[in-house]
Amino acid sequence: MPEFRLPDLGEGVTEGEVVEWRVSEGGSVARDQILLVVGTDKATVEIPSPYEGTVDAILAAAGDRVEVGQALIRVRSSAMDEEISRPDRVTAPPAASSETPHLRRRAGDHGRVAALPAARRRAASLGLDLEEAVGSGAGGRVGLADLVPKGRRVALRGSGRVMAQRMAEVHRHVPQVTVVLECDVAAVEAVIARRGPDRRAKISILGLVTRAAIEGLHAEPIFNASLDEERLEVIYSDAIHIGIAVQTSEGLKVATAKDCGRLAAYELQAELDRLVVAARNGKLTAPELTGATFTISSGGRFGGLLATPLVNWPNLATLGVHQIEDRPVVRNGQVVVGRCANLSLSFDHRVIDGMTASGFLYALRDRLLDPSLLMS
Amino acid sequence: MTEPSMTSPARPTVGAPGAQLLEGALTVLGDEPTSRVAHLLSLPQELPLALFSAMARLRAFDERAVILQRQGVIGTYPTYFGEEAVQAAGVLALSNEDWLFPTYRQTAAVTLRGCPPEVPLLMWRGHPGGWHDVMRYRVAPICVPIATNYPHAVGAAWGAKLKGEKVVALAFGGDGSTSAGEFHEACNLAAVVGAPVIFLVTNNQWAISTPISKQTRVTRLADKAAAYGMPGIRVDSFDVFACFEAVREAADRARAGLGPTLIEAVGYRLGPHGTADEPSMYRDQAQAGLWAAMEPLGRTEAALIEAGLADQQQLEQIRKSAAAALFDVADRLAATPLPPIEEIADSVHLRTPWSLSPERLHEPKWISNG
Repeated sequence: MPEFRLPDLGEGVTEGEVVEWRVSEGGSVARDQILLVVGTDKATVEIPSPYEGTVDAILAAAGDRVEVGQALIRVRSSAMDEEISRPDRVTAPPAASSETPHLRRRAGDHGRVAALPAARRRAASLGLDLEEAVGSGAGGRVGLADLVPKGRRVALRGSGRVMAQRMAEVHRHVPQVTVVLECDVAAVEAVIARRGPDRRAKISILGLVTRAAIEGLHAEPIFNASLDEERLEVIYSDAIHIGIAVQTSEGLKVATAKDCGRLAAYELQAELDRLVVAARNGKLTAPELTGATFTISSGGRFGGLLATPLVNWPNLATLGVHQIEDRPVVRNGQVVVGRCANLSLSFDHRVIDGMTASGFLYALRDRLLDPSLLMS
Repeated sequence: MTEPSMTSPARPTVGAPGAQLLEGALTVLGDEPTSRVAHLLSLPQELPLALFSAMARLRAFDERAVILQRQGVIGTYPTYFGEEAVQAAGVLALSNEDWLFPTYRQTAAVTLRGCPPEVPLLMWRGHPGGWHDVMRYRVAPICVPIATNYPHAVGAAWGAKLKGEKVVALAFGGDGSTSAGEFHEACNLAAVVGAPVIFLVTNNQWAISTPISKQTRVTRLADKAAAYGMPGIRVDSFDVFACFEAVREAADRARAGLGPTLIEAVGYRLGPHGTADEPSMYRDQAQAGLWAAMEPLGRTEAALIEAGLADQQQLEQIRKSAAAALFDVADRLAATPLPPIEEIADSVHLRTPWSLSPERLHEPKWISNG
């Protein structure tokens, strides 16, 4: 039964990452139909099927790193059991992989394990073998409850792996402190409620906060700098590139609004809207994923009362915007209902002291209390 | 690689990037509807559909080759998606006696002279069966190093002239090649000796990741012709009829003993440089997307229908049969027997060194792919 092995997709590419599968086990597949998407350090490409038949087994899960020559999928010919002539043979590398094999497949071609589609997905993502699961459903069908990874070690892959490495790296480098202020956002919400001229897109709280932060960066360039750790020199950036943390199905991405220091509010808003959509659709280009000089993390409705955002090293500071809610506030000696949100600023204490950071945050709050000045 | 649906063969309206770049370039499809219809009807009866069929065959080859590369059947491959008009016109505007000097991006051009597509595909597979019959098809072996085919073309053309043959040589190239020394030497010599040669340069604005602005300070590559004392023609590279006219005019000049011509086919690279390239790393893909409406097959289809020379069904059938002819080419490639491994060292060394001796080549690490 033909197995399709990962070819050299670039010039001298030795491995790739399975980005996503476009076919599933048991499904039929036509010649040239896209089987999967593979990312290499050269390009991300779709792989069309050389075979026609039924998908017998998918041999590598989304997120797996696969070597050139490694089998990715096994296809059962639709023309009885006759082996389809393989258009090519790619030889598997002789060296044994040091990684623990996961998602082991059944030895035979028959007896596909009955399982809910959601259970199949979870098994694939946890690296569990459906064959070994004891199905508690009707007729032994495997459900989600049967797939608890008790006592197992599951390798982090793809974005999970990147997050684990990146977060540890930041923590190793940056002694950081967070300062927090509560901000009355009634005036901000009033601006947001307005429609722009020419029926342009509405301003969002992220847009206004970003605009306010940019003014702060002009006033206090140290927040738009990085540290040369060896020479202990502060490197001031040439331009303001704002990183926006966006939660996507692939994990947290930082989309970068390039050179946005001089953009007017609506121009900035349009750029942020574009980046957020691109991030959610996985369409950010490599330059858009790098190069931020200051980062903003807006948690939206799930922003929590407050949090200590991690400094997006090598940036020196990250601004957090937290949940907006009605809170009791004191005005003119009276307790009234106010619209409030907390702002947090985490900063690299090697370079920035608490007073400077507080000053930046107080000034930012002042700008948000009178947001019409930000609308130029 | 799906084509956008086309309603008009015309150029993009003002504001689109093409409008500015293509200003002053020779065009047929960009003319008023009445004159472009008149032009198509003035051509020999078979020609418009022949040009379209040639482009459809080139497209089918290119799409199949990309699939084969993704499947590991062939190695790295430079797609020419969007360059079909230039290639089809370059071949069909000449006679079969004229010489073609392709680069790595025109490996399918030889199929328009009757060579089976399996041959260039075997070449991309690294198989010696990939050598087409150079003398039979009058198509030179492909040149991968940039601009090296230009001097070859000049030599062939000059030689033909000295022998009194009425033969023209056409060399394909790209914008990046005009910065290479060989381009200068070839153009200069061709003009000096009056060689009947055509330099057909597709300016698609990108030499892999190098934009034309970092390639040259000349805004129109055709202007370079003046420095050599030959005419330069700028033509819309997505307009097969205009490209045909440009090449035919250059060929007529060459045959009349008036020497070489530089043709700059202006356009934009619609796809990646090749299968190992990710253009989003270095260029604004939204900008590239604006050019999609210029895709030459769709544009030609619209013009043929407008002129009443074909209907949609007929054109679709031409595309489908071109694709169908290559659908299972992978099987035919796989069925081509592999040559003995000793051949890898043939024609390389006068005395085969130990490292390429049959004993060495038969060590397991070499034959594992066998």
